[in-house]
Amino acid sequence: MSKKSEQQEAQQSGARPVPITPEELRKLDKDLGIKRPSGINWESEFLKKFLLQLLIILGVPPVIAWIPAWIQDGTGSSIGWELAGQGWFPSLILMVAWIGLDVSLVKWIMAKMAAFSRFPVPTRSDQVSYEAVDIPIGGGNVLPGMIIKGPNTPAKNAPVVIVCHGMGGRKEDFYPLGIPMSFLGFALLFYDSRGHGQARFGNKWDTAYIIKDFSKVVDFVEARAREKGDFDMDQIVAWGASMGGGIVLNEAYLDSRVKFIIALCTWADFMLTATRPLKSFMEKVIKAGYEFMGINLNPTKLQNRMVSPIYNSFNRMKGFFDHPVWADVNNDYRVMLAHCKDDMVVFYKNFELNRDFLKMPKENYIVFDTGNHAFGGNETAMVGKMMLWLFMRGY
Amino acid sequence: MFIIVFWIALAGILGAIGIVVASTIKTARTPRWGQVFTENLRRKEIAVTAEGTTYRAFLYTSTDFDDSPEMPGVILLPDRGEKYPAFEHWAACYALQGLPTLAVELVAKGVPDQQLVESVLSAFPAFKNTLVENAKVDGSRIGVVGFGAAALAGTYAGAKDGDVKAICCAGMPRVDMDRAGGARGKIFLAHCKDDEHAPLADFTSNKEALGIDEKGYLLLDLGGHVFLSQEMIVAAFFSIVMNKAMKPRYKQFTPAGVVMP
Repeated sequence: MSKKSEQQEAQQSGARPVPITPEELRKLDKDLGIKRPSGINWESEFLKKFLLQLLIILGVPPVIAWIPAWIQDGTGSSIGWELAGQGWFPSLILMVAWIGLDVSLVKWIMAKMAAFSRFPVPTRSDQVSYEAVDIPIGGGNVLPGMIIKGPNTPAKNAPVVIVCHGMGGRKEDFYPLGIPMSFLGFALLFYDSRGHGQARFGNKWDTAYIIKDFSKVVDFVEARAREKGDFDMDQIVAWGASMGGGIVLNEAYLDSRVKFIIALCTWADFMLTATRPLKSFMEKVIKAGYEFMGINLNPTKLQNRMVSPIYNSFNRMKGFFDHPVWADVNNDYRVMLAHCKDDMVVFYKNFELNRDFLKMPKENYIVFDTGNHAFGGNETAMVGKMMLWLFMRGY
Repeated sequence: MFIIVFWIALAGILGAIGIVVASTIKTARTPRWGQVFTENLRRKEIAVTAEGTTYRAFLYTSTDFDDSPEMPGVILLPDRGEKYPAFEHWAACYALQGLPTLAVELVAKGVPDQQLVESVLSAFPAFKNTLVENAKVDGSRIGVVGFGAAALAGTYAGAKDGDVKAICCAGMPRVDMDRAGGARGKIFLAHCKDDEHAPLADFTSNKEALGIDEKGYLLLDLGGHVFLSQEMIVAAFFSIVMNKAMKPRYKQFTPAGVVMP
């Protein structure tokens, strides 16, 4: 039996390996034969303009450096452009210096981007158990999921946290969260959104569908609660960061089966954050990075309404036909938000809009002055606040 | 004449490289943990003198709990050599939960572990008094969070002090059971298997000697002595066990409204 079919069989039998390190993840993706279309969003005027500017900045000066040497060669007379008696030498020095500047700029960008990945060591503990599951979402498609339980997770009727990852992320990103939450008595369900991680269908830019898929995940929890009894259907917490926050503030918010919602660093109005004037070079780099993933950061008004909670979900619940209808939602009880003021991905105004639309009491949110999109340096403080929010709801 | 342009251009490029490289180095050298800036957190520096030694301490409180009754308090003993503000994120975690937290800087350069333990142990009553006197703290419900050798001091102090209701120890070396016996039932451990200063055998010995069950410890595969990448998990674990042991009274949000238990 080939390695690939062994993997597929293991997957079908539920004995899917639990990759945690980036190397393990890459290997598993390779073994499972998971490939993604590049999906670069070439329709984006921003991306084209940004790449052109980058090309000009990086490539044109080294060419310009050769112009005096070419003039000298072409005219056959010296214009004083020479070192050590060689006309080409100053041009070569300038070209090498400029390439050095290009390299140092790339290093600088990489150092800045490292702020988004502050956890170089993987998190593992023998105290938690992992169970791979497939979450059917219709049409024969499944979302790969992982259930984590710990020493304090009850065998029956455990409250469940459904964890939603960010755009371009994968379920493994937030596995560390599973360990302390399981000590609080939760079972956790992590899943790969379509187009992400080990999901075998969809694209990273299917944001509206990714959001809608969440209700199928709740269906899965409901079915499992009925069949196995290990989950408590009445205690579902939806947790999401960035796009995951978008998922929970849209679809989970509308779903009366979801008891609590925790949304970190997420948008209120997708268009507002995606099309805002960018203040810094790093913001442009980040936006270009998302558009390289194929994300449409210039959505139509209709697309925007489908993914923006202030238009789509707030103070509404699903009606008889599953469409949002106005409802008296107890936001004080139900929703927690967190954000950093210097967030370069989902800028701070989004938080203010969410907070104001939901009329949130101060106990329900926390704001840090710094930390960017990943709460860098504030992770422990943020988790402390999240624990408090749960303690104040009887956990 | 044109060669002047060359020298100006070269100087400009080299200057730009210098600025970019300096910025890269600054970014790369930014300490992993620093001050936590949020309007919910208040910090106050206090000098605590005990047994002829003056300790630099920081009291952290949450602005969200200004109107609340007395809450349990936390004494945070960072690992030796950890200077302010490297430990502020730990203190912020507990302070934001309404537990006033006194974090004590224990630099103690060149001081052997045993000597550090004894000096912290003898200063512990002063730390406790400082916490109770400077914040709205119920002095009969104190939690101790200690790291490395300082955790030993926290354990010995907590073992003989009935006001200490929870002792949380991270990366703690092997304890002397003659002094730690009183900590049974209120001590919680966090450890990484690859801890190079306090080997796994120390954790195993402590766990067994102190009779700690699976719900009372957190054992992680990686992270070393400093819990690299695992800080958030350890902070949350200690939050949970301290909440159970110290029973702070939080107002409860219910579907019907907010109630005070």
